[in-house]
Amino acid sequence: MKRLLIPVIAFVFLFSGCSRTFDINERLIVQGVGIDYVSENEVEVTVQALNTDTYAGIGGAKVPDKLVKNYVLKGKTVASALSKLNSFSGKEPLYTHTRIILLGKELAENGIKNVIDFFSRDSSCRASLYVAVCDGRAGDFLKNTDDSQSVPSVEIENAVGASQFGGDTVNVHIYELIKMYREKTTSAFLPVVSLDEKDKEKAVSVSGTAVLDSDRGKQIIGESDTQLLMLFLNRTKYGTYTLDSFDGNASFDFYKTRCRTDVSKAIKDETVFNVKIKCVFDCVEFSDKKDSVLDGGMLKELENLLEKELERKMSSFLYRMSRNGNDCMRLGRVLLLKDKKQYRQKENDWRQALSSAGFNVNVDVSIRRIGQESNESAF
Amino acid sequence: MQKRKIGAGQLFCLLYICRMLTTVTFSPILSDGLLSGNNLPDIVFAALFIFLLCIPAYLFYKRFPSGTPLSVLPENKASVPALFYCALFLFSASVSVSRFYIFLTSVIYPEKNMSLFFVIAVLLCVYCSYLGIEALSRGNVILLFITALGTAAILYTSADKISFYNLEPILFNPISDSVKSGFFAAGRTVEAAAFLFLAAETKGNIKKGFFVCISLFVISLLLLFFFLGGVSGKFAETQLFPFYSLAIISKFPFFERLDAVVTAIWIFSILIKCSLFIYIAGEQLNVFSFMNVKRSLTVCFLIITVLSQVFSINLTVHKAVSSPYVFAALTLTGAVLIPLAEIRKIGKGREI
Amino acid sequence: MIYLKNPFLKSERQLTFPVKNGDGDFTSVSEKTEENLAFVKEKLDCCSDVLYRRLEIGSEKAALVFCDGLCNSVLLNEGIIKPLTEIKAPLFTKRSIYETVTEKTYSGSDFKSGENLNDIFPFLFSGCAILFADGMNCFLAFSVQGFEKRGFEEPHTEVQEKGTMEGFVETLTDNIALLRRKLKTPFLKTEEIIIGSTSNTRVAVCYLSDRADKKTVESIKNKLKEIKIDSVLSSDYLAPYLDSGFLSLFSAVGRTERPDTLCSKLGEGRVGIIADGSPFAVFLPFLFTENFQASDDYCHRPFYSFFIRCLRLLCFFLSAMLPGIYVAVCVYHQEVLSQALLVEIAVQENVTPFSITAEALTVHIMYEIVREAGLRMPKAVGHAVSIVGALVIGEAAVSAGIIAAPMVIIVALTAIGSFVVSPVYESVSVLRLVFIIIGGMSGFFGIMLFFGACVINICALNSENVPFSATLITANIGSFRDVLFRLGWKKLGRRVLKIDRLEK
Repeated sequence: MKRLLIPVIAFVFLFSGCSRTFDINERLIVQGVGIDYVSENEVEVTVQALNTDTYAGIGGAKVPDKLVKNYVLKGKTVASALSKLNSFSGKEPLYTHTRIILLGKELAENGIKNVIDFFSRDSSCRASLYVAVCDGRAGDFLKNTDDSQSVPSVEIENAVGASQFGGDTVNVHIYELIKMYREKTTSAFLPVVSLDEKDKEKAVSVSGTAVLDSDRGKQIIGESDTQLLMLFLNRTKYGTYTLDSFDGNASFDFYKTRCRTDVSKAIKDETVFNVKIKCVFDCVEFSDKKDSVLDGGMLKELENLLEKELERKMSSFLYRMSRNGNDCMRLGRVLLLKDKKQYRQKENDWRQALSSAGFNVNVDVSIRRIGQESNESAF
Repeated sequence: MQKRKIGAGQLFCLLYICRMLTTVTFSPILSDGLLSGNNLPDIVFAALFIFLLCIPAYLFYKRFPSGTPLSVLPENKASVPALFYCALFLFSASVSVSRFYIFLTSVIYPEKNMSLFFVIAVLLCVYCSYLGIEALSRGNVILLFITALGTAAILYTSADKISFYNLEPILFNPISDSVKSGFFAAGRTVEAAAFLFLAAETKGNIKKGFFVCISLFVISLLLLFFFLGGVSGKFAETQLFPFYSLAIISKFPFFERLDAVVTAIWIFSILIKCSLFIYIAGEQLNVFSFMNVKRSLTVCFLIITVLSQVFSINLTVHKAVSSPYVFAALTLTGAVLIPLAEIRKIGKGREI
Repeated sequence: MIYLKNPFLKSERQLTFPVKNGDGDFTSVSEKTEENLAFVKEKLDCCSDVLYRRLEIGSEKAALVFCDGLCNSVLLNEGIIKPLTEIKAPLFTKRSIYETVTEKTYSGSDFKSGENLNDIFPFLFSGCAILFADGMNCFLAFSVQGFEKRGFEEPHTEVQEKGTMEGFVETLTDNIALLRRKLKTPFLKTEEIIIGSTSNTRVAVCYLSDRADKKTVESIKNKLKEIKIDSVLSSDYLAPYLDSGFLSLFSAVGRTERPDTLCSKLGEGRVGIIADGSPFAVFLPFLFTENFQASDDYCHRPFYSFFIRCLRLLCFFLSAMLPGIYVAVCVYHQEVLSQALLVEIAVQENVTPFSITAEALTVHIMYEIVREAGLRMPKAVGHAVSIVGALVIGEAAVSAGIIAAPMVIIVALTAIGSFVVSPVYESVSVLRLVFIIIGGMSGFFGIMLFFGACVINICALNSENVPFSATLITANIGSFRDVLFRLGWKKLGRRVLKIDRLEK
């Protein structure tokens, strides 16, 4: 046994190295991929990668001046375009550290399903990769930098990823996008990234949410609707809500939210969704013209105002989305889980069924903390 | 080499990790659509059928505490069952190795030729079998601990992504579909047949270990699939190896990807399962007088190396050989029919 | 001479079985001193260090044979020669000479007699003085050792913070005396066996008869008696004969230079073996987790002992696997690294001419060269090696772009970690290179596969019928009271922990 073991191991170790491997310095570290629509049979792919070309020097290797390199490739499909990357860069691409996939506006309007498949199928791409639609050409977004030491993909990723703190923008991973596609009734959505140009400085921000019909962009909803969507989907962890119906300034941080949706029995074939939202807020800003004191009575009043406003806004949002046939709220899944029989009847024509659905929204608000100031305002 | 009995706890740890390998490496695409991974009733029925499947093996143990399905037969009648069981275990080991090969070449190293790596992997498994059941069972305890930690880490880090809306409603599909899925999922429990041979080399409270093992396995199964469905939802159905994809989604603060944990779990489990099955298959071949330990292990090595390469040529071939129908037929024969036939036909009072 | 107690020292000869305990050739002692002397001179011709002193006991001729340099000349003169030469009695019977010399004249405490002339050589070369006398048909060997020996010093290989500062020395008698001072019990048994056809080394088997398993003791003694070896110059020569039968990088035989460590092991029912001429003792059974334990763990408080043992375990894995994992990650699994680390390593590795695998192997081999040089070279040039090592490997190679800075850090961590677990240094240094090769060839998967196989290999080892991995796999909670975590002495000292053999 020992006599067999050692020569076989030696043989294997000597010959198993004769296959394709790449050291870390032979890899092109891709940071972002932007895909734009050229024509029906052509896409333009912009790949942003880190520039690790260095030279030896005193004290070790020296970092190059320019931190990123952009490669613009064209092909019939994403895979055929990316296959040319080796010959352009001379290195084997590494997609494991890709931060964001940016889809151009025109591409979103023409359909994104075919381009996403490569990133979900390739094993090196993380399933937790962010996907976003941009308000323009994706290539321009990736090349947008005045500073040679900045990485635009990182800035875009930070902007998209920061939605968890703002509460009024979404972030979507690849696996979530695929999950939404696979759900028969759900409309997928993606964050929309735009460039704000002020004082000759361009800053990336997430300006809304694109709702897709099948795989084509259908509608873009603003920040306030996105906040409601996040609230409905129980994805609000942080964020600030400003009370519009208050005669003064009143802003509240979300502390805890919970949204439950039930389905009532259909009357005249109409599905009624009963939405119960429970929110716990912390007051972060309060001032009015009367210099009111934030006492128990005022808190009660604010709670009532918040409840009414949230009910009104949520109902309006749900009606608008359902009338447009957009089910980014996953109401189809709710119906599937709560009333299978109804779901079976309506799943094949869900858009139509949703447009005639009714909603009962009930919001329960409580204000937990009011900050450092206890009674009178500083001013 | 001195042969000693292993403890009941060690035996069931071995069987547990072997079965968990089958669970963690399940693929909805390769299971003929019978198990989607997102339908909890399928899992409940699978657990029930696994329990039922193991009962004949337990009854055999009660009837012949120190015997195996071969030792209770006369010598001239033992060769055919010996070949059958040898084929069963080698086939199961080959399928596991080939599935791992497909995983490596589909997901991790699509451009690299891993054939030689697998030759040495199988060789290491043969070496571990050669070291004996004692060494395997002791090593398994350590590797099981690491495996359990890794699994717990993945589940813990993905817990915050669970949403009940990702799960499929219970009994949405007809119950007959769930029963069928559960039955064929349970049909992969070749470990029930392994128990028949290992119980004779075990000391301690086997009855307690049997029920504890089954219970733990059922709980693990439910937990794993609950997490899989609750986090991934429909996404799991599109993945070749859903548990691996779940690990990719999980994230520690300082770890970019936890899929290395899954692959480590997979490798340890493969090592244990393959070594154990080679050990048992080797024991069957020792029934023949011209075979000794080294020859039988060499034969097992050659068979598994060849079979695993053949089974992983492409997905179509692999799907055919790892078909739940094939496994169900083999497992039923080996773990249910043969033991029950022997219990019935071999009369009471016969000394083994 | 004390290492090779054999009359044929001056020439090469074929291996024969050792003369021990009366076995082998038998040449009876003559009643005539001249005949005995002739035999000895024939055997020991060309041995200039063997001296002969003729004397008369009464009127009977006698002669003393002793080795210059091994005997204490004062003791020899005052204790043997002077009293013997002062005897003025006339003719004696055989019995009278023996009685007179041993009981009335010799003031020493230890002597032995023998009737086989071939048996004098082990005594002679152990520092005894051999007396032949006319009319006496046996020889007398007086214990008058006076050779220079090393005093008790702090052990070089097992330095402790709070433990004792005594270590074993080369003399077996002194080592056994150390054990006796620590274990003042009649149950401490020390059985001597002579091993080595040329060296005739005395080997002591020590155990506590009320704790040690009798089968274990018998098994060890039988194994030692069956050893066919030319010379035993260290206790480590005996270890392979006592080790588990499996090929493994780890040894199932424990080694120690400290008497307190050996005493604690004897107290647990284990058996210790000490060879004359070696300051190291080996003991069995031995467990894998004991590689990460030290005797001053029992002097520290339990929480600190726990911390330090965890640190040792971590260092073991770091020193064995970190370079291999680094290579595997850099070549195959770059996705594991965080972005900043990935960029930093890529930038540094970009300038080096070698592949990462080759670089790792080269650096580690260079480190081993420097380490070996530091171990063997004269102390006077010690500084030169450390300067060359630090400058060449550390500074110049990195600046020239031959090796990357992260690799230097990995080597440094590995090296420091391996010194923390010095009992397994040999295994770790080989494992490290194997893991580097495997990591470079097949990545993380090969490493995990080999790691799994190593675990199973460790689990296959049995140390005198006790599993080498016993403390890792037991279901008995009580067995964990002194593995990583150590209970306080109030609980730990309550009962004796005994090691049980496996039943078939």
